[in-house]
Amino acid sequence: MDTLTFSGTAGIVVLSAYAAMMLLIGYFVGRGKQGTRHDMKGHYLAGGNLGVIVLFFTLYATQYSGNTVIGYAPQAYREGFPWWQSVTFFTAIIAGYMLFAPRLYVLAKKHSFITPTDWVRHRFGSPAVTLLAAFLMLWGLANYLLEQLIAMGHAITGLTGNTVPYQAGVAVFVCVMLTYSWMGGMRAVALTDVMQGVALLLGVLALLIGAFSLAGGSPVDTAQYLVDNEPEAMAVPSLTESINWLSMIIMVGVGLALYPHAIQRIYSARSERTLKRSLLPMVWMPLITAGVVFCIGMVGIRLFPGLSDSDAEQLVGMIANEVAGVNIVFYIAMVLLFGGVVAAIVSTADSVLLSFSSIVSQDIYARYVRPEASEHRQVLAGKIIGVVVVFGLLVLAWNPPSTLVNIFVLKIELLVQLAPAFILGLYWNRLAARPVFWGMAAGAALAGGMTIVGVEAIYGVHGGMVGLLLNLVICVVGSLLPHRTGVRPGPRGEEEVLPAVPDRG
Amino acid sequence: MPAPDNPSRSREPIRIPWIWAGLVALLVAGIPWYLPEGTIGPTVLGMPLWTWVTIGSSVALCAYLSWVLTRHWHLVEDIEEAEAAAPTSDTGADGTEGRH
Repeated sequence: MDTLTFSGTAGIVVLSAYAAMMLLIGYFVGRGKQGTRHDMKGHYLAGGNLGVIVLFFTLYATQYSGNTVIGYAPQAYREGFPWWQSVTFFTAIIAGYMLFAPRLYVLAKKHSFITPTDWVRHRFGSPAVTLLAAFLMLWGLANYLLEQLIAMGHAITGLTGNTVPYQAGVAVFVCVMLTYSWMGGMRAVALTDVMQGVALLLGVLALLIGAFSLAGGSPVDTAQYLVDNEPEAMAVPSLTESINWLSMIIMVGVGLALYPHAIQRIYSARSERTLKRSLLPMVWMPLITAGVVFCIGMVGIRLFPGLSDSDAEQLVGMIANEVAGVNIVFYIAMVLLFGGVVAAIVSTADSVLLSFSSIVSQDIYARYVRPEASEHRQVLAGKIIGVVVVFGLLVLAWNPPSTLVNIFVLKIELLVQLAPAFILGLYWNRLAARPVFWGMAAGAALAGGMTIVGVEAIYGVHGGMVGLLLNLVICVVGSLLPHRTGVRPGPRGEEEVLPAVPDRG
Repeated sequence: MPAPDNPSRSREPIRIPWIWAGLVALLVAGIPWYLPEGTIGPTVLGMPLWTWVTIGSSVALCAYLSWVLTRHWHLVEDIEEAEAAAPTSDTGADGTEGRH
C-alpha cells in the first residue's frame, strides 16, 4: 500500500470527491429528517425505518471493510486454499443472525431497544451483567475502530503516492466521518454505505479481472500452475488446521453477528420482511466479495512468488500497480478501487463509532451520569464522547501494530462471549443473571489471557471458542443449580415472545 | 407488539432442529478433515477435487441459508403487513417499502 506507483494526484482527486459526497449526504440527511440529530432512535437507528436497499448496503459495508481486501488477499497468499474459509465464515454470519435475530427484532420493536445492551438489561435486570456486557462491547468496538483507523492511514498514504502523510490523511477523513455522522446519524451512515459498498464491490471485481489478465491464460491455467509449482498452496491441511478452520467459522459466524453495530442494524429494519429481504443477498455476498479477494490472493502467488510474510502484506498494492499499467481503463479502475477501499474503511469505522457513541450515551451517560438529561443532551453527550475516543485512538494509530488480521481475532474473541446472554437468554427462561455474569467474565478472561500469553489455540480451537465453552458451562450449570432465596432466574424473555410453535414442515 | 392471529404460520429457524443439522453437515463437508495432510489428489479443471468439494459446499451453504431465510422465518410479518396496509403508511430511507 505504501508503494502505489499509479497513485498521486488522481488519488487525491478521487478521495476528495468521495469526501465531498459523504459530506453532502450527511448535510442533506441532517437537514431533511426531523429527529435525526436530536432524538436517540432517530440518530442511532434512523428511526427504525430503514428500507431493503439501504439496509442491505449498510449491512454489507459494515461487514466488509477495506481491510477485507487489503488484509485477506495476503492471507490467501500465505495460507493457500485453506483461506477459502473466509468465504464460509462470512456466510456463517447469516446463520449466526438466524440464531437470534428473528426474535430479537420483535422484542426490539416492542420495547424500543436502541443499544444491544438494552436487551441485556431488559432480560436480566442486573446492572452487573449490563455493565460487563457494555464494557466488552466498548472494548471490542474501540479495538475495531483502531484497526480501521490504521488501515485508513495506510490506504490514503498509498493512494496518494505518499503526497498526503499518514497522520494528515487519517485526520482529514476522520473529520469528514465525524461531520456527516454528527449531522445525519445512522441515516447518513447508512446512505454513505450505499456509495461506499458499490465502490468497493466494483473496484474488487476490476482488480480480479486485471489480476487474471496479468497472469495470462484462463483461471484453469492459473490453478494448474499452482498445483504444479506451489503444491503446498493447494494441498490438504493438517487435521489441527482443519479443526482451526471449523473453529474460525463458528467463532466469526457467531461473533460478527453479535457485533453491536450489526445488532443495531437489526433494530433499524423497518419490518421483518425488510430485514429478511436485506439478509437474502447478504447470503451470497461472501462469494462475490471474500471469494473474489481470495482469488486475487491466489493469483498473487503466481504473479509474485516467494514473498515473505511481511512483504505479502503489500500484495494488493503490488498487483494494483501492475494492473494499472495495463491500460488507461485499468488505471482508472485501480484509482477508483483504492478510493473505494478508503471509503469502505470509513464506512465500517462510522458504523462502529455510531454504535460506540450510542452505548456510551444510552447505557452509561443516561443511566449513571445524568439520568435526568433530555434526549437531545444524551445524543450530544454520545457524539462528544465519540469524538474524544476517536482522537484518543488516533494517537494509538500513529504507531500501529504490524499484522491487521491478528487484531481482528483479538476483539472477536471477547465479543463472542456475549453469545450466551443473547442467544441462550432469548430462549431459555431459566438462564440466570449471576451465572451469565461469571460465565462472561471467565470466558473473556480466559480468551484474553490466552492471547496475552501467546496461546492462540488449543488443538486448533481458538482461544475465543475455548473461553466460550467455559462461559457456556458456567451459564448452564449455574442456572440449573438451586437458587438461593431472593435470587431469581431470568424473569423475562420466553413468555413475551411470539407463539412458540415448532415447525416440523 | 401483539401475537399473530394465526400462530400456526409462525416460523422461527431456531426451533427447527433439522435446519441446524443440515447446516453442520454442510460446514463439515466443506473442510477436508477426511483426507491425509498434504493430499492433492486428482485434479478437475486444474484444481484438486477436494477444493471443488469445498467450493461446492460453500455454494450449497449459501443456497441453503437463502432457502431457510425465505421459508422458515416468519414471526410478525403478517401483523406488520397489515399495519403497513393501514392508510398512514410511511415511506422510508430508500422508498422501496411502506406500501403493501
